[in-house]
Amino acid sequence: MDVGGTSERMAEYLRDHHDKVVGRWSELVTARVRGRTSPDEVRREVGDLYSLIIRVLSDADDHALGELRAALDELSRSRARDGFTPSETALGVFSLKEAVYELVADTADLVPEFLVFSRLIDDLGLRTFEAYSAAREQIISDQSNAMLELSTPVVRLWEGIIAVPLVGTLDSARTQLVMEKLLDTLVTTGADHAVIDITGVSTVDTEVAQHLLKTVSAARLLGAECTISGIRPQVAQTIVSLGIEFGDIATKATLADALALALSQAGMKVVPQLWSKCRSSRSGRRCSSPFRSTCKTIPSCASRRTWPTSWPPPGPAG
Amino acid sequence: MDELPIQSGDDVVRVRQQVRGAAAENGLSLVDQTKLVTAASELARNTLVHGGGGVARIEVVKSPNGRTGVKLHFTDEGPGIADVDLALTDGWTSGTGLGLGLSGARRLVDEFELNSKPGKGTSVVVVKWSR
Amino acid sequence: MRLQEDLADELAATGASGVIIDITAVEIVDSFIGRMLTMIGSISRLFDAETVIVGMRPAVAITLTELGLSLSGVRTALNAEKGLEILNGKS
Repeated sequence: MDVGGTSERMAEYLRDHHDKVVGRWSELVTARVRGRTSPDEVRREVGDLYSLIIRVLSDADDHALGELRAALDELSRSRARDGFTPSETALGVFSLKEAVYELVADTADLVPEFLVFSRLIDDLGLRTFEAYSAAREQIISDQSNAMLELSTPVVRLWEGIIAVPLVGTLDSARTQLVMEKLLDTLVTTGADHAVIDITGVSTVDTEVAQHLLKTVSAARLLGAECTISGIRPQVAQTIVSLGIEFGDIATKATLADALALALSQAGMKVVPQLWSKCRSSRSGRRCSSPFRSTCKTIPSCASRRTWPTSWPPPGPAG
Repeated sequence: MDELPIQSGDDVVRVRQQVRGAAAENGLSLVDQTKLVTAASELARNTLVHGGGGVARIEVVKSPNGRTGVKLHFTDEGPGIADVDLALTDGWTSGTGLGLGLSGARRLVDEFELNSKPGKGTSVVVVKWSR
Repeated sequence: MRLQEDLADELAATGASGVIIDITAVEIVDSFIGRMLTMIGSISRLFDAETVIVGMRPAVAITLTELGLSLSGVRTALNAEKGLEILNGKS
């Protein structure tokens, strides 16, 4: 079958019956849009596509097919934006076949031409569906990235100590993001210590352990020491039974323990604040020194009896 | 497709610069750019040192679902690699070095293809996609 | 090569006990450069000096980790200041 020849004959036919076919096609599409687009708008859209289709069929130039595809993609997008379902858009394209068929039905010698033409229109209609699908995929992908970003905070726990609480799964995509955020934060805060909390990580298997080890290695290259916290009892058992070794990386049960460790490594100690209480006045006043000899809280206090008590001081009655 | 000769250390530097440019222009993140350029550096050096010099080609490619990527080809007419599997094992080395050239480069890219036969030269093709 | 020669000369001449290599401006560290850094570490040790590499960029650190390159024989620190702290024995 001489495809080239048949397409050209079809193109000629479509050219000759331009007004009739475009008119009928417009009509069919307008019926489907149910008022969401004006008839003039439809007529214009349809007319543009019609000219492009004729160009493609007559193989006039190399750009025709590219332009037609671009026009359809744009139509698909704008229809999707206006709330049309992909089926509605596709059926709009398919109705050109209906319009043409009504005219050629009586002309038997155009049957092979019509078949080739029909196949082209089928492809175009399906293309609008694909375009719609691709647009949805992009939205899902964007949202997915946004969620990933949001669920990976890096917080400053203390001077020089940052924490990365991980929640959910730790796959390679997440790990990349964690590493990037952790390292960038190390650079901007100059922190020496990072605590990676895995309380919220649902499963810890060999792969997750690898991701954690990679993250720690990367942080160490920037001079930061790491502690892994949030090791739950079941997780501990899994880790041991899988033979996972954390080597020289400190691991702790809770974030609190990890913070204490990080503080001690930074040469800091948390001590209870000492208060003094004057026995006679029974008021708790913070003393600059817990020792009686240097008590300066109540200048006029007669007893001057002070002794250190632990934080917080009891109320007046105590 | 850009074709670059690899006959000297300066050529390796040039390959790095061109790859960096292509990666940046095609939407790869900074980390991905760094990984691709590092892989290119490894492979270019391999071509120079073990392949006796060769050629690098940089191509921009598109995936079926519309993502853009950068494809690199490294070819040489050198002695070739007798045991490809061994070469791709971590820690393998054919001379002085940390022995990470090929296996390391593989970890840095999304797609990696190595074809080599003793006496027939070596060809390495890698692809890194934008996210 | 040049760097290593100059470094060896300098260490011999000054008897310095520490070397800080600032790679803030280095965009790519491949295995060749990694080897060079490790060698610098070895050379320094022969002169009884410790080497600290500072200023590694996050993208480089992530790539090195993926590459599996371990810079053995050298310490790393975030910047020159912290590097000095290490050399002065604070860590």
